[in-house]
Amino acid sequence: MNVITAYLDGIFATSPQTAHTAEVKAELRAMMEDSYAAYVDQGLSEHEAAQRVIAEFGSPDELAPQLGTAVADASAGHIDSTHYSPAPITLDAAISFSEARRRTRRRFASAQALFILSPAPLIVLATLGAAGAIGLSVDAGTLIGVLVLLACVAVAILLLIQRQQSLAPFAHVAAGDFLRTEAVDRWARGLAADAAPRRTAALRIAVGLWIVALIPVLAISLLAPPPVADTWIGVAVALMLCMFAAGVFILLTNSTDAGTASALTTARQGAGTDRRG
Amino acid sequence: MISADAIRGYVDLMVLSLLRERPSYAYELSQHITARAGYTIKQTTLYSAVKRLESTGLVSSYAASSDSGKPRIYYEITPRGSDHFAQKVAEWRDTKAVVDRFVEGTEE
Repeated sequence: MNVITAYLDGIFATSPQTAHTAEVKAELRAMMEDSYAAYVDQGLSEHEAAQRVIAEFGSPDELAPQLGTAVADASAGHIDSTHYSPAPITLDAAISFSEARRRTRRRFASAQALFILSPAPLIVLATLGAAGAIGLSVDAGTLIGVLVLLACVAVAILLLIQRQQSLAPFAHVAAGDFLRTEAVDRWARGLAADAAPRRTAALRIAVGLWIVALIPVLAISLLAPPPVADTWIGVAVALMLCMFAAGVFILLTNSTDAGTASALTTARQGAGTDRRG
Repeated sequence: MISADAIRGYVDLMVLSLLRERPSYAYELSQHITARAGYTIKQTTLYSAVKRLESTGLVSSYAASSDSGKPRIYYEITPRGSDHFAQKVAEWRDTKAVVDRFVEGTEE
């Protein structure tokens, strides 16, 4: 219910604080409360129920006759759209955008990890081949390594293209070509707040991995005798890349909602103050 | 499938019709409309319709407890509201008859 209360507070933030406004707000709140309770009884999670209730709220413009003209200005984002070239974003569009980003987050993170990992086989095969540790010449090892590198890059690019196609309907949102609305701003702030702990945890794990990633390389080059170091340094570097890529993957898969919220709230100034034509 | 736009002009009629059965509060009205019309009415649409009806004296309101014991504003239809409803029903029948003459024979 906190999300709903915050939503209503936002709607009425700039309305005159009269007894009448309080009555209107209380009655709308009661409607939302009943609706929320019914959705929770139907088995929806509290988060889903709140989202559904807010999506069914409707346009604050319709309340203008009850509240006087003040509310029309208060409901930023529902302003005469002929003055603006970009359209105000709807809550439905924001939710779809968020879901599309969530669905494609692994593709994006995998592609970035593949870019980082792509030179690892080349480094391993070239150093082991040069040291005579495997039955491959340097040339053969290099050739295989380069082919694997190219394959990794190709797969990564394909993943990014697929993701771009999935997000194509929301290109204008990603590009910031929309007008922010109070409702979407509030929803995005909630999304960011919900996502923050997870993202912080992911960031900790990623930074930990990035620091630990240096250990194999440092250990081999500082502690091992030179012949051993020459043979295994490539493996240590590959290990470092793996841990680096793992850190990036973990961080990116857990940063989706934060990124979505940021795209939804930093694109343009709030609709109420943006008067570009 | 009826579009929300098409039905919007008849929200007042639906609310009056439901209130003829018994007094009710906003959420309950929205549930009945959803159940009978098969489309989810936006809260602001229903709320503004009820308030419009109240301001024109077609319904009146009073505070009472809902079945779950929560304080809610109940609306009941006034005699003027009943008259208005009868007029609107007659108008709808005429409208429907006129439109029917134009769409007759187009059924698949």
